[in-house]
Amino acid sequence: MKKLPIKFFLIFFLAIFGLLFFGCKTVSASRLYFNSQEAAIGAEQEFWLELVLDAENSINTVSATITIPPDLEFLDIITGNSIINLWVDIPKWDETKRVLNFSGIIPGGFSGMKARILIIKLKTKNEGVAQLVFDKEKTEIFLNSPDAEKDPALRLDSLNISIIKGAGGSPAAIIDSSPPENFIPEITRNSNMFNGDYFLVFLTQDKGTGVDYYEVSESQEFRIGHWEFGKRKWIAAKSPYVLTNQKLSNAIWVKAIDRAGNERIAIIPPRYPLPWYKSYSIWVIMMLTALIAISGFSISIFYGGKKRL
Amino acid sequence: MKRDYLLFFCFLGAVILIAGFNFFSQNTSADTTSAVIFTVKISVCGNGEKEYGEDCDDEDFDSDTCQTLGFGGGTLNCSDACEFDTDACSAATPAPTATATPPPSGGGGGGGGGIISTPTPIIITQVIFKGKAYPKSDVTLLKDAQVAATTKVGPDANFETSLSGLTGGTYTFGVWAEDAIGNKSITHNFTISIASGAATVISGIFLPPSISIDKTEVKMGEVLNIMGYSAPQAEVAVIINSDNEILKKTTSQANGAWFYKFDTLEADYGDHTVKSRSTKDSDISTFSKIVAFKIGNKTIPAEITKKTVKGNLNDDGKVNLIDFSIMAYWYNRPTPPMKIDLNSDGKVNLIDFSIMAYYWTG
Repeated sequence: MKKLPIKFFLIFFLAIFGLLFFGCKTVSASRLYFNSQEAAIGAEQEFWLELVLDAENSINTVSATITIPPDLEFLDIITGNSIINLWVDIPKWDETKRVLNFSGIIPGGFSGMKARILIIKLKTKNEGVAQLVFDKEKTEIFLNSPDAEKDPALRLDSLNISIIKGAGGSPAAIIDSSPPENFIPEITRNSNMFNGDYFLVFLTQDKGTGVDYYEVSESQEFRIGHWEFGKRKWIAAKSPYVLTNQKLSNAIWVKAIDRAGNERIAIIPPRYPLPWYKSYSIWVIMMLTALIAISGFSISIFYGGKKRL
Repeated sequence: MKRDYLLFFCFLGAVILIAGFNFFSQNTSADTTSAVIFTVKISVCGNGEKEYGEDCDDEDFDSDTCQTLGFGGGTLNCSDACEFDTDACSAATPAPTATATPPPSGGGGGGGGGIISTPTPIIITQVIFKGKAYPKSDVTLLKDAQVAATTKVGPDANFETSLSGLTGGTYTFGVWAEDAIGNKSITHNFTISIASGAATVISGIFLPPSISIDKTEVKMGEVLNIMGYSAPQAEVAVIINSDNEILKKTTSQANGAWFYKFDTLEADYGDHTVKSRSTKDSDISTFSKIVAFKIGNKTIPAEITKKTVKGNLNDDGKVNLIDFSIMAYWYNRPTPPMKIDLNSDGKVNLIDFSIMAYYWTG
């Protein structure tokens, strides 16, 4: 038998050592991947994919860019039940670049398995294989640490979707009849933004389809008791929202609308209500009272005069 | 030839031994240096099965009866929160005339055997939180990053609070406490899926100790005082991250306060960090906040105020949605104010948001 060379022992030693050493290290990494209900999807079929996170160590920030090939038509994004509490970049689809990107934070951190980030609804076109790929440069996860360390061993699993004639794929409809959760908007101001003007901050969650957008109404109320007259003017808004009425004399209404169209309204009473003589409602009540009084007086004079005749 | 084989197997054995040692030593050191898996016990009230933290669940009393609880007899019931309801238990020494009388019927009386109307139980989605913090401190409960409740901790450091009116779904709950000197613990998160119409009990929460130091820079040879609060009589491990990790232990007092005098001669010149964690009754907390200090040639005292929390951009002592909004305004904008650029790299980007998320108080 030939003598085993020293090189052999060295390579063997390094291989075993490396495997055990680095193998153990990667166990504690985070992983982003897709969870699909179907292994193969039929052509011209709608389906959904869940973007999921595994985090061995506590992480608090996720940012991702996903390329979706032209073989798939992008339809929608659902953020309900997401592990992300605050979106820094709201999930946005760029049709020209064919990329979906988002970023958000989980204050206090998250560690665990199979946490949903969002759901992507797609439609297949022709038969073949379509691959969803993460942009490695623009996808990152930060550990929940005081220095915001990037997870050095982030694992990104792309997904190959087989589009086969005759296979199914219609997505299960997400039934969402619940409005977004109760919330309390806050009025604040800061010398570092909006020239120190008052602005509004608001946030709520929706455990069904996710909050789609918010609307704000600052119009002066024209109400008598519980009745509000006229149509309230709503403006699509994002937090932080600079208030038009810097006197804070009106009630502010904030409406959260989920992707199923359910609404939740939060109302902030006026911080500095108008004096009575500047209120439309008071003037309307006074005018109506005056009108009734004048009418009554006129009628009484009219009939009183007739009797005398 | 035989010698070669022998040499080969010896080498192989050595390799496996070294690698194995390396593997296990990594895991062992992870216990003190990196993250600890925080275990809370989650039980679902309403599933008919008595689990950890529950007295009972529906009709599962785990052999408990009115008698075992010290009553004379009667029917032991289970409340919606999976706690014993002893209202229908009779006293330990029942009066001779005591007989079980049915509650009055809902409709009119008359005749025998009226229909007893039992109220339909209102099903609410509720989460009950039980755990340990610092004696007589205030505990704040966050729901999806926003303050949902606050509660006062008892002198034994135990707390219990609940949230109701939730819809079923995935929630991230966070808990933090503020100690007697206004120092906040790290926000401790757990993400769980809540079943609609059930009461979920989350028990075994053990908040990490609060931690502060009396100097940001300490002259070599002087003492650095490291202090904080934990549960009473808890063993507090103080870990100083230096070139070589230094582990020290102390015990908290009856009021939860703990204190350690660190001799800087044990470490080298330069930047260091310190963190701590507690052990009590076989419960181990996660690590506290990480606090940085420097060993140099001068001493700079630390400023300990409520408003020194990093990420508190509007000086209200909290790190919450308002601070997030201020940072969001400056996100990717040129020349942000120094205060908002948390890592002082001249821009507001995801790193700053991540730092803010670490210090979040809601």
